[in-house]
Amino acid sequence: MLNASLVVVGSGIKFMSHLTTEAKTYIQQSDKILYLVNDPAMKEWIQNNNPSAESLDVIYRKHPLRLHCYRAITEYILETLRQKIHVCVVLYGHPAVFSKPALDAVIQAKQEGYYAKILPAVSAEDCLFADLLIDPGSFGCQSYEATDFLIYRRPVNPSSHLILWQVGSIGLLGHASESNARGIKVLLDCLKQHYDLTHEVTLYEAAQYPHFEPRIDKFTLNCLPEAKFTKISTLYIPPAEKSICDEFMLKALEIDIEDLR
Amino acid sequence: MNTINFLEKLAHLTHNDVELNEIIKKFPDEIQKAFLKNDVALLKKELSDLKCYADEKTVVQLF
Repeated sequence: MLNASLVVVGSGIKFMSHLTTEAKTYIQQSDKILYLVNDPAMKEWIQNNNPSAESLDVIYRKHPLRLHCYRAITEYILETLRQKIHVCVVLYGHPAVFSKPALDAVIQAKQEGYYAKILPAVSAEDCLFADLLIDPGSFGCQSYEATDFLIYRRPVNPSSHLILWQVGSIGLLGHASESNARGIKVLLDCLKQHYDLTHEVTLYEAAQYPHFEPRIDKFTLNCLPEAKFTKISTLYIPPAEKSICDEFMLKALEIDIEDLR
Repeated sequence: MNTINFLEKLAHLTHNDVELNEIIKKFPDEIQKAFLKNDVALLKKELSDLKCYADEKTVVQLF
């Protein structure tokens, strides 16, 4: 029997509805729970289900820059694990998607010889595919964190789906809830190089509670600056161009283009 | 039944099992309003006075 382990689970997006059986079991049976979730109901549920539960909120607010907070969270998870106990970390959404602290903790724990793993969960992207009726397998799908998309000038393929995360926090590396007008302006300047301003886009927020509906606001790209963003808003841009098959590849793969229609 | 237990119960009901308007009647006005207006911010406010962190899950790695 192992004397220590680290298991990172996700609570999904919608309260309770997205909690998997294995995540629930780990939350209820681990020696120590560390959690960082964005929902008061889930916080209370975790605390009720395991008295050892400890919030990571304090560390999340400890430093002005979020990146420094994440490093502190990783270190705290590892310090707890080194007490030779079974640790379960609960994060909202999918614990490996847009969540570096737990990912880093699991990688480091494995290097130190501990049993460590991440369990899959429902991410905001999973909800988006279902709510917006999008198959990422059709046309391909590009998915970027919005600030990352801009500062690294990630390539845009207008014949694919484009998903931009955290558009409400573009360029904001700290915790302040300041205006995001400058970030949105920079984003619009970038997007209009690839899309017509009359192209319809969607601002999306998944439903966070049972029997709530997702937020799906559709508008043309030129209306982006007037849109109402929150910290969990995601921008979805549908394909604007048709994909064109490459003749050379079709021949090389011996595919008849008629069979694709 | 407190609101957390109510939400937990709701997670086990499909839309065809539940008349939401009926079962939320016993809850405070603000909770009812949150459901009827699909206003997640209002529901969160009613659930807890505590600030909810972790809305921004990651930041870019500048190196």
